[in-house]
Amino acid sequence: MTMSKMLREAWRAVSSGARRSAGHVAGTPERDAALSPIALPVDGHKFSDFLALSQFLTEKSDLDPAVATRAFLALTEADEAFEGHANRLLAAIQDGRLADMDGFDSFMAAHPALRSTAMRIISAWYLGYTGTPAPLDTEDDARFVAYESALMFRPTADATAVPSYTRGRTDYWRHPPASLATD
Amino acid sequence: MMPIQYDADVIVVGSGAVGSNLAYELAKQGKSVLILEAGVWVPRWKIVENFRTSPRKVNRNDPYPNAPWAPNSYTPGYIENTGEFDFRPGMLRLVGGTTWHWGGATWRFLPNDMKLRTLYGVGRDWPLSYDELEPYYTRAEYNLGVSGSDTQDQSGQRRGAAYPPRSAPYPVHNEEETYYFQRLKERIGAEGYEFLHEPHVRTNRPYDGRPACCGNNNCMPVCPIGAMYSGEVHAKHAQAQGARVIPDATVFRIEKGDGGKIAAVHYRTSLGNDARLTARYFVMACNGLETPKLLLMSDVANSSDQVGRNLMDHTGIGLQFLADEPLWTGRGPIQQGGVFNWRDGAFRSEHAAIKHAINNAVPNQEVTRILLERGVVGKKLDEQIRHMSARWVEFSTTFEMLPHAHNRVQPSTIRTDALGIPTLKVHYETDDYIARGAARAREDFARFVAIMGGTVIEDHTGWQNRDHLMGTVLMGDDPRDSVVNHECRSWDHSNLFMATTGVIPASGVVNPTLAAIALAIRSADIIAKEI
Ligand SMILES: Cc1cc2nc3c(=O)[nH]c(=O)nc-3n(C[C@H](O)[C@H](O)[C@H](O)COP(=O)(O)OP(=O)(O)OC[C@H]3O[C@@H](n4cnc5c(N)ncnc54)[C@H](O)[C@@H]3O)c2cc1C
Repeated sequence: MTMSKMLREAWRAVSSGARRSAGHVAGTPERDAALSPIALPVDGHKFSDFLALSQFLTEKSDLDPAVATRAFLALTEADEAFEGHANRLLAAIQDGRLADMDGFDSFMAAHPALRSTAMRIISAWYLGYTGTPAPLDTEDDARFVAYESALMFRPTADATAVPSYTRGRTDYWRHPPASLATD
Repeated sequence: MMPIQYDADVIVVGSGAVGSNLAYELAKQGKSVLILEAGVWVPRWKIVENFRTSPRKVNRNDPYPNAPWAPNSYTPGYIENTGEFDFRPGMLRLVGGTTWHWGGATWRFLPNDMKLRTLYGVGRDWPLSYDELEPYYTRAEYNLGVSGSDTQDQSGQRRGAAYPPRSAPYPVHNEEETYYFQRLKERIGAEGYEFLHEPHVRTNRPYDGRPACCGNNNCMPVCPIGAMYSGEVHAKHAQAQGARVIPDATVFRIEKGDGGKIAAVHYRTSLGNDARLTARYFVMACNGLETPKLLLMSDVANSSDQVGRNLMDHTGIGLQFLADEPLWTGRGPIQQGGVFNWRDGAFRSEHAAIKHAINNAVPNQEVTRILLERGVVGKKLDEQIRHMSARWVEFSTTFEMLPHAHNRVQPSTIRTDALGIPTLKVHYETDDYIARGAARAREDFARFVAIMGGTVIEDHTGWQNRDHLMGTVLMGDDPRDSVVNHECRSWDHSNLFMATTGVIPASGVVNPTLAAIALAIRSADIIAKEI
């Protein structure tokens, strides 16, 4: 998908208030998405840019705008300069120098300054948080983005649960997932 | 003369699994019981929501209350470490205590574990035998609804029959093995390693109002459906039997009375109000760090100078690797058992016993973090998440620590919480006994990886916390070098008991809470007879 088409689609999703929460495992509505206001605390234009950039970097066309809002805010709160970096990244991609994520590594070799911005965006969508959570401490710079819809769970959605949601009944675990032979 | 009036027959300080079971047993026998608890009641759903909306899923204390007047153990500075090792167990403050987020492993100690000094010449002996404790183990297992195998030799020594001896079958039969566990057992077990099912408190049939585990894979930090036992179960049962639970009541002083007896305890609420309560008997059940702290703050029970000393955890190391076949770790409960060849044997005169526990937590977060660190993106990222998650294997290995007087907990002299109560100062050093055990364990790690055609992710973790707090109010035969006797009664104060894993004088290599609950039920019977 081209960048401008992505931008248009993202904008449509935002302005129509459409929300899709993908990757559900147990059919339980995601609480964080459900409670988040869709009203954007950032101006619509900037936001659609961020959503489009996120779609491009994650190669996912169905990203939830509510999660995008949280990711954007978390990343800008953590780093005031984030928005500027994201704009430069977007501009560089739009300049046509990166067609899709298959070319990411060589593109980044030419734009090393943009790599960490790209990885921070991808990481927020996949891990569902920004910053570095502390395992044995109550203070850190981690910020919440998403849980059930974090992209890290999608590739295994047919095989394992998103922890705290269940995948089956007692003793289902005795058998491997049906996909075993091709895993 | 007027008869003395008391506020209660028995005051139990701390509503964790150990204190609540003791309180329940006494209330059931018609005694009036007060449970004083520093934290508050929190409904399960709130903890589950806190977990789901937390950015730090790796942090097991995070979904739980952490108030300045009832800080949990991960509050920065709460534990001041003066030793080499950063001793930092995940202790909680709420009604029900730390078992809200435990692994639920409920092994029995072996008869030999309790005679370590006699048999192997190291450490200490317990002042009672396995046979004396056995009936109370059974009662504890029925209180908790322990699920276990009635046929395996749990010492790992292949006696060919159930061991250690038990007077009743497990209340809940063992659940099915995960495919992951079956495959590891088939391949690694074929090379002489002894795989055992781990007894645990995730019931797999309705039990005492709890539903069957259906594999939500979230025992730590919170079971969303309450299939896994926590101390809250018996806090509620104690209440139903007439005990009174007083939350938001942090005990800061134990008051001595006449004739070597304890007269009262003093607690403070979050509003700063203090109260004094009297009772015939007092039970300290604030866990293995807070109990000795409170005794030391009150200058109580310490004629031996052993209070707070001999601190032991099952300090451990870990292993993560990718197997050469998909095993699909993460289906079912978060742990099911492990490898137990080194649970007992003559080697214990030389090095620590070893437990290789096998983790079964959904690995996606760890896998994805590693892949992102390597810069993997796009379709490859999704493919690799699936590939690695399917092959992820994780061992969590623990060692039998010995008691050393210099490993100790004390009240902090430089820091207090919002109530003005000192926080904790801990000094903890590992020793050669577990270092030699770890060298052995690493040989096993190398073999596990080789047998599974594995690729190592991490095999040099360094020492890790295991959150098992033993030794700090240890029991013994001699008032000169132990804090309590075999009844868990203070040598110094005849109406003061300790109900905590802190009484355990020889740590074995299995999770200690069931033993502490069994001992607490035994103490309850003793107290009930005397009132
Ligand atoms: C992540 C994790 C996993 C674990 N897994 C296992 C396992 O699989 N098997 C096992 O056997 N053990 C396990 N443990 C250890 C287990 O949780 C403890 O042994 C157990 O909770 C001890 O019970 P307790 O009642 O003594 O103390 P706690 O459960 O800590 O309860 C003590 C209570 O006392 C209260 N309190 C403290 N100070 C005061 C005061 N001054 N006044 C009033 N109240 C006070 C606290 O708020 C708390 O509610 C695990 C621990 C952790 C952290």
